[in-house]
Amino acid sequence: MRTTTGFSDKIREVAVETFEMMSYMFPLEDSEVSSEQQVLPDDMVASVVRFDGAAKGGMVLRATPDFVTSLAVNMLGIEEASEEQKEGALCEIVNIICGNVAPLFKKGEEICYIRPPRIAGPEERPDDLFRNLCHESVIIHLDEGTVEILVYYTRTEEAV
Amino acid sequence: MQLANRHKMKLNILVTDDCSTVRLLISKTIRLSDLPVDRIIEAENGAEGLKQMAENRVDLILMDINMPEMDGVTMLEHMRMNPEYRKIPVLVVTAESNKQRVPTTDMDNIAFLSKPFTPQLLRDAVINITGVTNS
Repeated sequence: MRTTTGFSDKIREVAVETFEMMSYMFPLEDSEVSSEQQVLPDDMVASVVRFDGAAKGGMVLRATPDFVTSLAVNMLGIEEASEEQKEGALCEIVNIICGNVAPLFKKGEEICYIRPPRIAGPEERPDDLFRNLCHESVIIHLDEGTVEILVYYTRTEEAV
Repeated sequence: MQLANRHKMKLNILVTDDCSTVRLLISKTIRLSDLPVDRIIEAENGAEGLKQMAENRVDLILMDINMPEMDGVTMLEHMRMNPEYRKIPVLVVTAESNKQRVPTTDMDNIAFLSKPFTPQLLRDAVINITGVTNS
Protein backbone atom coordinates (compact mmCIF):
# COMPACT_ATOMS: atom_id res chain seq x y z
CA MET A 1 0.00 0.00 0.00
CA ARG A 2 1.83 3.09 -1.21
CA THR A 3 0.88 6.47 0.20
CA THR A 4 1.78 10.06 -0.52
CA THR A 5 1.94 11.57 2.92
CA GLY A 6 4.98 13.72 2.27
CA PHE A 7 7.45 11.67 4.31
CA SER A 8 9.60 11.32 1.19
CA ASP A 9 10.73 14.94 1.30
CA LYS A 10 11.77 14.65 4.95
CA ILE A 11 13.56 11.36 4.33
CA ARG A 12 15.46 12.87 1.41
CA GLU A 13 16.39 15.96 3.43
CA VAL A 14 17.61 13.92 6.40
CA ALA A 15 19.43 11.38 4.23
CA VAL A 16 21.30 14.01 2.20
CA GLU A 17 22.36 15.80 5.38
CA THR A 18 23.46 12.51 6.95
CA PHE A 19 25.58 11.45 3.96
CA GLU A 20 27.12 14.91 3.71
CA MET A 21 27.99 15.21 7.40
CA MET A 22 28.99 11.64 8.17
CA SER A 23 30.71 10.52 4.98
CA TYR A 24 31.34 13.55 2.78
CA MET A 25 29.08 12.27 0.01
CA PHE A 26 27.08 14.86 -1.87
CA PRO A 27 23.90 14.67 -3.96
CA LEU A 28 24.03 14.96 -7.74
CA GLU A 29 21.94 17.45 -9.63
CA ASP A 30 19.27 15.84 -11.81
CA SER A 31 21.23 16.82 -14.90
CA GLU A 32 24.28 14.95 -13.56
CA VAL A 33 22.47 11.61 -13.24
CA SER A 34 23.10 9.34 -16.22
CA SER A 35 20.49 6.99 -17.63
CA GLU A 36 22.55 4.06 -16.33
CA GLN A 37 22.37 5.45 -12.81
CA GLN A 38 18.57 5.66 -13.06
CA VAL A 39 18.36 1.86 -12.98
CA LEU A 40 19.02 0.29 -9.59
CA PRO A 41 21.43 -2.66 -9.77
CA ASP A 42 20.44 -6.13 -8.58
CA ASP A 43 23.39 -6.71 -6.28
CA MET A 44 22.42 -4.25 -3.58
CA VAL A 45 22.99 -4.90 0.11
CA ALA A 46 20.62 -3.58 2.73
CA SER A 47 20.52 -2.52 6.35
CA VAL A 48 17.25 -2.67 8.26
CA VAL A 49 16.00 -0.96 11.37
CA ARG A 50 12.64 -1.40 13.07
CA PHE A 51 10.72 1.00 15.26
CA ASP A 52 7.68 0.76 17.50
CA GLY A 53 5.80 2.89 20.01
CA ALA A 54 3.69 5.68 18.51
CA ALA A 55 3.88 3.83 15.20
CA LYS A 56 5.32 0.53 14.10
CA GLY A 57 7.42 -0.01 11.06
CA GLY A 58 10.93 0.16 9.81
CA MET A 59 13.39 1.54 7.35
CA VAL A 60 15.55 -0.20 4.77
CA LEU A 61 18.64 1.36 3.18
CA ARG A 62 19.86 -0.32 -0.01
CA ALA A 63 23.17 0.36 -1.73
CA THR A 64 25.75 -1.43 -3.87
CA PRO A 65 28.75 -3.14 -2.25
CA ASP A 66 31.07 -0.56 -3.83
CA PHE A 67 29.03 2.26 -2.34
CA VAL A 68 29.14 0.64 1.09
CA THR A 69 32.92 0.37 0.84
CA SER A 70 33.17 4.08 0.00
CA LEU A 71 30.78 4.89 2.82
CA ALA A 72 32.89 3.12 5.45
CA VAL A 73 36.19 4.46 4.10
CA ASN A 74 34.87 8.03 4.05
CA MET A 75 33.20 7.80 7.45
CA LEU A 76 36.24 6.44 9.21
CA GLY A 77 38.94 8.19 7.21
CA ILE A 78 40.74 4.94 6.47
CA GLU A 79 42.32 3.39 3.38
CA GLU A 80 40.58 0.05 3.55
CA ALA A 81 37.50 -1.03 5.48
CA SER A 82 36.84 -4.43 7.01
CA GLU A 83 33.54 -6.20 6.44
CA GLU A 84 32.56 -5.36 10.03
CA GLN A 85 33.27 -1.69 9.42
CA LYS A 86 31.27 -1.70 6.17
CA GLU A 87 28.30 -3.31 7.84
CA GLY A 88 28.61 -0.97 10.82
CA ALA A 89 28.66 2.07 8.56
CA LEU A 90 25.58 0.97 6.61
CA CYS A 91 23.73 0.17 9.84
CA GLU A 92 24.68 3.46 11.45
CA ILE A 93 23.46 5.50 8.49
CA VAL A 94 20.04 3.84 8.46
CA ASN A 95 19.92 4.24 12.24
CA ILE A 96 20.54 7.98 11.96
CA ILE A 97 18.11 8.55 9.10
CA CYS A 98 15.35 6.53 10.76
CA GLY A 99 16.03 8.18 14.11
CA ASN A 100 15.49 11.59 12.58
CA VAL A 101 12.44 10.60 10.52
CA ALA A 102 10.65 8.66 13.28
CA PRO A 103 9.57 11.82 15.17
CA LEU A 104 7.16 12.42 12.26
CA PHE A 105 5.16 9.49 13.58
CA LYS A 106 4.95 10.89 17.12
CA LYS A 107 1.44 11.03 18.59
CA GLY A 108 1.19 13.54 21.40
CA GLU A 109 3.58 12.41 24.13
CA GLU A 110 3.92 8.95 22.63
CA ILE A 111 7.21 8.51 20.81
CA CYS A 112 8.81 5.91 18.57
CA TYR A 113 11.53 3.56 19.83
CA ILE A 114 14.22 2.71 17.33
CA ARG A 115 15.56 -0.84 17.65
CA PRO A 116 19.15 -1.86 16.84
CA PRO A 117 19.84 -1.95 13.08
CA ARG A 118 21.12 -5.03 11.27
CA ILE A 119 22.23 -6.14 7.84
CA ALA A 120 19.49 -7.89 5.86
CA GLY A 121 20.19 -11.39 4.61
CA PRO A 122 20.63 -11.85 0.84
CA GLU A 123 17.25 -13.59 0.58
CA GLU A 124 15.34 -11.01 2.61
CA ARG A 125 13.18 -8.73 0.49
CA PRO A 126 12.14 -5.42 2.08
CA ASP A 127 8.46 -5.90 1.24
CA ASP A 128 8.51 -9.29 2.94
CA LEU A 129 10.04 -7.86 6.12
CA PHE A 130 7.21 -5.37 6.54
CA ARG A 131 4.04 -6.89 5.13
CA ASN A 132 0.80 -4.94 4.82
CA LEU A 133 2.28 -1.62 5.84
CA CYS A 134 2.20 1.76 4.17
CA HIS A 135 5.50 2.47 2.52
CA GLU A 136 7.39 5.14 0.66
CA SER A 137 10.58 4.90 -1.32
CA VAL A 138 13.24 7.52 -1.96
CA ILE A 139 16.12 7.16 -4.40
CA ILE A 140 19.09 9.46 -3.92
CA HIS A 141 21.91 9.83 -6.42
CA LEU A 142 25.15 10.76 -4.67
CA ASP A 143 28.58 11.39 -6.09
CA GLU A 144 29.73 7.96 -4.86
CA GLY A 145 26.67 6.03 -6.03
CA THR A 146 22.95 5.58 -5.65
CA VAL A 147 20.98 4.54 -2.57
CA GLU A 148 17.37 3.56 -2.08
CA ILE A 149 15.62 4.23 1.21
CA LEU A 150 12.29 2.60 2.00
CA VAL A 151 10.20 3.45 5.03
CA TYR A 152 7.35 1.21 6.21
CA TYR A 153 4.92 2.32 8.85
CA THR A 154 1.58 1.80 10.46
CA ARG A 155 -0.21 2.86 13.60
CA THR A 156 0.16 0.94 16.84
CA GLU A 157 -3.25 -0.71 16.49
CA GLU A 158 -1.95 -2.63 13.50
CA ALA A 159 0.55 -5.44 13.88
CA VAL A 160 3.87 -5.44 12.06
CA MET B 1 36.20 18.51 39.20
CA GLN B 2 37.14 22.15 39.68
CA LEU B 3 36.71 24.32 36.62
CA ALA B 4 40.28 25.62 36.89
CA ASN B 5 41.60 22.07 36.75
CA ARG B 6 39.54 21.26 33.68
CA HIS B 7 41.54 23.73 31.65
CA LYS B 8 44.81 21.96 32.52
CA MET B 9 43.89 18.30 32.56
CA LYS B 10 43.94 15.73 29.81
CA LEU B 11 40.63 13.96 29.54
CA ASN B 12 39.95 10.29 29.92
CA ILE B 13 36.90 9.72 27.73
CA LEU B 14 34.56 6.73 27.81
CA VAL B 15 32.81 6.04 24.49
CA THR B 16 29.81 3.75 24.95
CA ASP B 17 28.18 2.50 21.76
CA ASP B 18 27.27 -0.99 20.59
CA CYS B 19 28.58 -0.33 17.07
CA SER B 20 32.36 -0.66 16.79
CA THR B 21 32.30 1.50 13.66
CA VAL B 22 30.72 4.36 15.59
CA ARG B 23 33.17 3.93 18.48
CA LEU B 24 36.03 4.14 16.02
CA LEU B 25 34.47 7.15 14.27
CA ILE B 26 34.07 9.04 17.55
CA SER B 27 37.50 8.05 18.85
CA LYS B 28 39.26 9.09 15.65
CA THR B 29 37.34 12.36 15.49
CA ILE B 30 38.29 13.21 19.05
CA ARG B 31 41.93 12.27 18.50
CA LEU B 32 42.06 14.62 15.50
CA SER B 33 40.23 17.44 17.27
CA ASP B 34 43.21 19.03 19.00
CA LEU B 35 41.53 18.53 22.36
CA PRO B 36 43.57 17.56 25.42
CA VAL B 37 42.80 13.86 25.54
CA ASP B 38 44.71 11.20 27.44
CA ARG B 39 42.86 7.89 27.08
CA ILE B 40 39.79 6.91 25.13
CA ILE B 41 38.13 3.88 26.67
CA GLU B 42 35.48 1.96 24.75
CA ALA B 43 32.45 0.01 25.93
CA GLU B 44 29.80 -1.69 23.81
CA ASN B 45 26.88 -1.35 26.23
CA GLY B 46 25.87 0.31 29.47
CA ALA B 47 26.93 -2.59 31.69
CA GLU B 48 30.42 -2.59 30.22
CA GLY B 49 30.48 1.18 30.51
CA LEU B 50 29.77 1.01 34.25
CA LYS B 51 32.48 -1.64 34.62
CA GLN B 52 34.99 0.61 32.85
CA MET B 53 33.97 3.50 35.11
CA ALA B 54 34.68 1.39 38.18
CA GLU B 55 38.14 0.50 36.88
CA ASN B 56 39.27 3.78 35.31
CA ARG B 57 39.20 7.49 35.93
CA VAL B 58 36.59 8.86 33.52
CA ASP B 59 36.22 12.60 32.91
CA LEU B 60 33.63 12.49 30.13
CA ILE B 61 31.20 9.93 28.78
CA LEU B 62 29.99 9.89 25.19
CA MET B 63 26.96 7.65 25.21
CA ASP B 64 24.59 6.08 22.72
CA ILE B 65 21.06 5.35 23.95
CA ASN B 66 20.03 2.40 21.85
CA MET B 67 22.27 -0.49 22.99
CA PRO B 68 21.58 -4.16 23.74
CA GLU B 69 22.04 -5.73 27.21
CA MET B 70 21.98 -2.36 29.01
CA ASP B 71 20.87 0.76 27.16
CA GLY B 72 22.01 4.31 27.81
CA VAL B 73 18.93 5.28 29.81
CA THR B 74 19.54 2.41 32.26
CA MET B 75 23.22 3.27 32.50
CA LEU B 76 22.25 6.84 33.40
CA GLU B 77 19.89 5.51 36.07
CA HIS B 78 22.77 3.58 37.65
CA MET B 79 24.98 6.66 37.49
CA ARG B 80 22.32 8.77 39.19
CA MET B 81 22.44 6.53 42.25
CA ASN B 82 26.19 7.06 42.66
CA PRO B 83 27.13 10.56 43.88
CA GLU B 84 30.58 10.24 42.30
CA TYR B 85 29.32 9.15 38.90
CA ARG B 86 26.49 11.65 38.64
CA LYS B 87 28.98 14.51 38.50
CA ILE B 88 30.73 13.14 35.41
CA PRO B 89 29.72 15.05 32.26
CA VAL B 90 27.67 12.95 29.86
CA LEU B 91 27.30 13.75 26.19
CA VAL B 92 24.46 11.73 24.72
CA VAL B 93 25.21 11.17 21.04
CA THR B 94 21.98 10.11 19.43
CA ALA B 95 19.43 10.69 16.70
CA GLU B 96 16.50 13.00 17.32
CA SER B 97 13.95 10.36 18.29
CA ASN B 98 15.96 9.10 21.26
CA LYS B 99 16.35 12.44 23.00
CA GLN B 100 12.89 12.22 24.49
CA ARG B 101 13.76 8.91 26.14
CA VAL B 102 16.39 10.50 28.36
CA PRO B 103 15.22 11.99 31.67
CA THR B 104 17.64 14.83 32.36
CA THR B 105 16.15 16.59 35.36
CA ASP B 106 18.23 15.02 38.13
CA MET B 107 21.55 14.73 36.32
CA ASP B 108 24.18 17.34 37.10
CA ASN B 109 25.85 17.63 33.74
CA ILE B 110 24.24 16.15 30.65
CA ALA B 111 24.04 17.39 27.06
CA PHE B 112 23.04 16.07 23.67
CA LEU B 113 24.83 15.87 20.36
CA SER B 114 22.45 15.04 17.55
CA LYS B 115 23.42 12.60 14.83
CA PRO B 116 24.43 13.32 12.15
CA PHE B 117 27.30 15.43 13.41
CA THR B 118 30.44 16.97 11.96
CA PRO B 119 33.87 16.79 13.63
CA GLN B 120 33.49 20.46 14.55
CA LEU B 121 30.12 19.89 16.23
CA LEU B 122 31.55 17.00 18.25
CA ARG B 123 34.56 19.08 19.27
CA ASP B 124 32.37 22.04 20.29
CA ALA B 125 30.09 19.78 22.31
CA VAL B 126 33.05 18.31 24.22
CA ILE B 127 34.41 21.78 24.95
CA ASN B 128 31.02 23.06 26.07
CA ILE B 129 30.34 20.27 28.51
CA THR B 130 33.85 19.82 29.95
CA GLY B 131 35.18 23.36 29.87
CA VAL B 132 38.47 22.16 28.39
CA THR B 133 40.30 24.21 25.80
CA ASN B 134 42.64 23.19 23.01
CA SER B 135 45.63 21.01 23.88
